[in-house]
Amino acid sequence: MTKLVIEDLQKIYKDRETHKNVHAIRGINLTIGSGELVSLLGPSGCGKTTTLRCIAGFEVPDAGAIRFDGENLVQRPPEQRDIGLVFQNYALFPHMTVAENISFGLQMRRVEKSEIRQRVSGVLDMVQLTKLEDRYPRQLSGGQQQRVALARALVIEPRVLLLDEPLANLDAKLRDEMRFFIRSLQQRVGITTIYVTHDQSEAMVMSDRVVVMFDGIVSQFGTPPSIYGRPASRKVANFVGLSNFISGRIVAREGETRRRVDTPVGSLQCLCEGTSEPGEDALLVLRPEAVALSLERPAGAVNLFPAQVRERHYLGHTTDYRLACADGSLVQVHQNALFDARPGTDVWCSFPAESCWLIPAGEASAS
Amino acid sequence: MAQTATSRGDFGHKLFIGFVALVYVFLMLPIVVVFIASLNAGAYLKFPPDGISLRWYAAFFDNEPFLQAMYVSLRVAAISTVFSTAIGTLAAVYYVKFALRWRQALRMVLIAPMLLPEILTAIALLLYYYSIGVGTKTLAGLQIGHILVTMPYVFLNVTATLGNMNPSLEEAARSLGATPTTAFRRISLPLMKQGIVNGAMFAFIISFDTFSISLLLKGVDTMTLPIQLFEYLQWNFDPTAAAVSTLSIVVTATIVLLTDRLVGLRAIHF
Amino acid sequence: MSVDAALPLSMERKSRWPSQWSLLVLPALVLVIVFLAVPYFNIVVMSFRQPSTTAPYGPGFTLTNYVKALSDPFYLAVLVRTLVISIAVTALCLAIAFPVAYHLARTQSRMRGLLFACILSPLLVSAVIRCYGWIIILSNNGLINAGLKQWGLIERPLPLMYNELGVMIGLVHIYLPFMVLPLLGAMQSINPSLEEAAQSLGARRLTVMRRVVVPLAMPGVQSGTILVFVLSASAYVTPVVLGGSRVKLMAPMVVQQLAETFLWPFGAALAIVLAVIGAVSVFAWARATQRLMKGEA
Repeated sequence: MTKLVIEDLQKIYKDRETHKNVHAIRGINLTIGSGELVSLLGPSGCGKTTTLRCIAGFEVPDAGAIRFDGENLVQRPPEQRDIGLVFQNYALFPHMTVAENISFGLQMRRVEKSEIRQRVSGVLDMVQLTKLEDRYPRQLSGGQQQRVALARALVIEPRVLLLDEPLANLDAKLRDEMRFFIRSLQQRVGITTIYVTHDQSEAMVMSDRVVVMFDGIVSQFGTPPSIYGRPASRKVANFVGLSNFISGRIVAREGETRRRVDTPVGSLQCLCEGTSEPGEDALLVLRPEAVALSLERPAGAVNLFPAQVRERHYLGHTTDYRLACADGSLVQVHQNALFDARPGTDVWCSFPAESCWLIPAGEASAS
Repeated sequence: MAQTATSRGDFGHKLFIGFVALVYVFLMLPIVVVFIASLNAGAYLKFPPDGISLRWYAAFFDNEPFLQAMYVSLRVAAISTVFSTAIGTLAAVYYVKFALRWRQALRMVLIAPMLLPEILTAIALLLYYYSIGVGTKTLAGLQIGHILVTMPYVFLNVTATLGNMNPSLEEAARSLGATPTTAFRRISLPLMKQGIVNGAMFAFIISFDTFSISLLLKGVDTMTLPIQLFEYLQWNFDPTAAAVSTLSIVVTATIVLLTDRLVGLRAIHF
Repeated sequence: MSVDAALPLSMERKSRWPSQWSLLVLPALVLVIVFLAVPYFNIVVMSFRQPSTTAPYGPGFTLTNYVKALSDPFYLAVLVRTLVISIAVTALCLAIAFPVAYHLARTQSRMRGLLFACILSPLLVSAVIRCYGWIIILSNNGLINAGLKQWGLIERPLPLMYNELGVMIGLVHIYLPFMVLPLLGAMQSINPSLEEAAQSLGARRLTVMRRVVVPLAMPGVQSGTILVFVLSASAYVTPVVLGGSRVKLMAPMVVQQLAETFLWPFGAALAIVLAVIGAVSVFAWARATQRLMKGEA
C-alpha cells in the first residue's frame, strides 16, 4: 500500500548519432495514491518508458525526486527498491522453469524453501497457470508467458508494480482478455501500479487515473472520463478518441461552467473549465458519438446545425458519417444503424451542451 | 507466354542446381578421396585402389613419429582450448558489459590475430622468440602461439552470444532483488554457456589443424600432426598418410559431435 | 544495438577509468600486445638490419633489404605472380560461391543443415590433408589422369600438379568456404520479397539477380573478396604441397629465407613488402566497393 510521488523529474540524453542533448523528461510531477492503477499514456518518444525506468531505477534522473511513502529512492539501485517489473518481451529466464522463474525473487529475499513453494503455487493459482510450473518459457504461449511474468512480479509482494507495455506483443483478442485480467488482479491485490501504454483504449479501460504525456511533460492527469470528456488541450483530445474541432469565439457566460460560443456552423452552448471569458478565442471538441442526426429539425435542441451527408461507411456496430456543414467544414458523426441517410441527404445535427467541451485558445495549438 | 517462361526457367533452374551440386562435390571430393585411399590394400597411391584393407591404420600405430605427433597435437590443442577459452571469455564479458570508449579499437586489437595472415604471425613469433633469447624451438613458445590465434574465435563467439541475449533478462533479475553480480552469475552466465562451449570447440579444432605457427616454431619433439604429415609427404606417398589424415578428421569430427551433444551448435558466430 | 543496451547501471554513476573490471580484459590484452604487436614491430625492425651469413642478422641497420626486395627482378616476379594468382583465385571463388550462397540462402529443402555442414566441413580439415587429397586426384597417376587414361581419352597424363593450375585449384578449394559464408550472411539479410517484387514488375531471373541481389549482397562480396585475397596472398601450405619448387609464391619464399637460408633481415623485408602491398590493395578495393555500396543505399 505505497504512495508514490514524483517531484520535478528531469532526464536528458545525449543522442548517440547527432550528439545533441535530448530532453526526454522535462519536469514531471505526479502523486499516485496507494492501490491506484495509473497509466502513462502517450505516443512513442513522449518519455513514458523513461519515466517508468527512472521509477524502477534503471535510469538515473538528472534532477527531481521519486518518493515511495515519502522516502526518496533516486540514489538506490533497482534491486533495493522492492518493485515488481513486467516487461513487454516478458523477460522470462529461458533456462529456468516457470516455478524457478517465479521463485527467483523470493530466493533473492532469502525466503524459506517451504514458504517459497507455498507462495509460488498460490500465485500460480491467482494467474490460473497451476499445472504449468515445470514447463519452460519456450513451451508456453505468449499469453501464458505474460501471466508468468505477472506472477513473478507479484509473488514478492512489491511496494509498487510497474508494467511496460506488457500486452503489446499479444494479438488483439488476447490483449482484451488480459486487460481485464490484469486489472481485476491488481484490484484484488490492491497494489499501487504504474502502467505504460500507447494504446488509449487500454488506458481508459484499466486505469483509475491516466497521465497523458507528450514530449516529456504531463499534458493532463485525471480520471478516464475527464481525459475523454474534458481534454485539456487539442493534442490530448486528438490522441484519446476521435474528435471534431470547431473554432470560435466566446460571446457570453451562461453559468459557472457554461459558455456561448460563436462558430462558423452556428451559435453553440458548451461546457468549460470555468476560467475562459467572453472575447477569448476557443476550440470546441465534439465527439462523433455525441451528435444525434435527424431528417426533421428536432424541437428543443440546445445545439443545432444543418449539414449534408458526404460519405457514409458501415462499421457494423455503428455507421460513420462525414457531413459537410454550411461553411464547408467536415464533421464526423457515428450513429447506430437505426438511422440511415444516403450521401447527399440533408440532415440536422444536434447535441447537448454537456457533449461540447471548450479548450481555451492557449491549449488549442496543434503542435 | 507463361508457358515459355516456365520451361525456359526450368532448364535454367536445372542448370543452376546442377552447378551448385557440382560445387558441393568439388568441396567434399578431396576429403572423400583421402578416406577411400586410406583403405587401399595396395602400396601405392593410385586410383582405383587395389582392394580394401586396414593395414595403413595399423601402420600408423607402428609409426613412432606419427604417434608422437598425434599426442603433441592433442595435448597442445587441449591446453590451447583451456587458456584461450578462459582468456577470451573474460575479455568478451568486459567488452560487452564495461567497455565504453575505445570499444571498436579494443575489438580490433583482440581479433587481430585472426585477421592477420597466420604465416606472418608465425614469422613474427619466430624472430621475436629468437630476439628475446628464449629460443625458437620451445614447446611453450609453440603453445603461446596456438593460444594467440585461437583466442579471437572464443572472444567473437562469446561476445555475439552475450550481445544477442535479451538485455531485459538481467534487468528483470535486478528488479526482483538481484545485485548486478548475482544477476550475471544466475542469468547471463548459464545462458552464455553455449557460446563458450562453441568457442572452445573452435579453439580446439583451429589449434589441432593449424599449420604455419606449428611449422616455424617446431622443435625436435614438438611436431604437431599436420607438420609431421607435411614432412612425411615430402618423401613418401604411401597411404599411411591417408590413414593418418582420416584419423585426424575423425578427431575433429568427434569434437564437433561432442559439442553438439553437450550444448548444440546453434550459437556459432563470427 | 542490443550489445550497447546491456551496459549496467553502474556505468552511469562511476565514470572512473580504469575500474577494477578492466582486469577481465587484461590477460587478452597482454597476450595480444606482448605476443603479436611487439613481434610485428620486431619484424619491421628486423627488416632494416644487416644480413649476415654466420648469424640470423648482423650489426647495424640498412635499407639494402628493401632495395633488393623491390628491385631484384626475381623477387618482383614472385610478388607479381603471387598477386596475379591471388586475384585469379579470388575472382574464381566469387564466381563459384555466389550461386552456391544464393541457393543456400533461398532453399527450403530439408537438406539445408546438411548443405551448410558441407560448406563448413572443409574448414574442420587441416590444409595439409586437403592438399593431400588433391595430390591423389591431380597427380599423374591420380584419379583424373588414371580415369581419363582408362577411358582412352588421353595417352600421356595431363600436368595438373606442380604447376600454377594445381596451386589454383587447391587455393580455390581451401578458400571457397570463406567466400560463401560472408555472401550467405549478406544474402540472408536480403528480404526475399524484394526479388518477388522485381519479378512481379516484369524482371526475369537473371535481371533480378543483377539489379537486386548483387547490389544488396555487396557487403558480403566486399568482405568475402578481401578475406580470400589476403588468405591467398599469404598462403603457404597449398603452394608448397601442390606447386612444389616450381611455383614460387611470396609466403613460401619468405619462409625459405628465414628457415633455410637464414637471411632473416631480407626475409623480414619480403614479408613487410607482402604485407604492405596486400594492405594497400585491400584498402583500395574496400574504398572502391564502398562507393558501389553507397550508390545502392
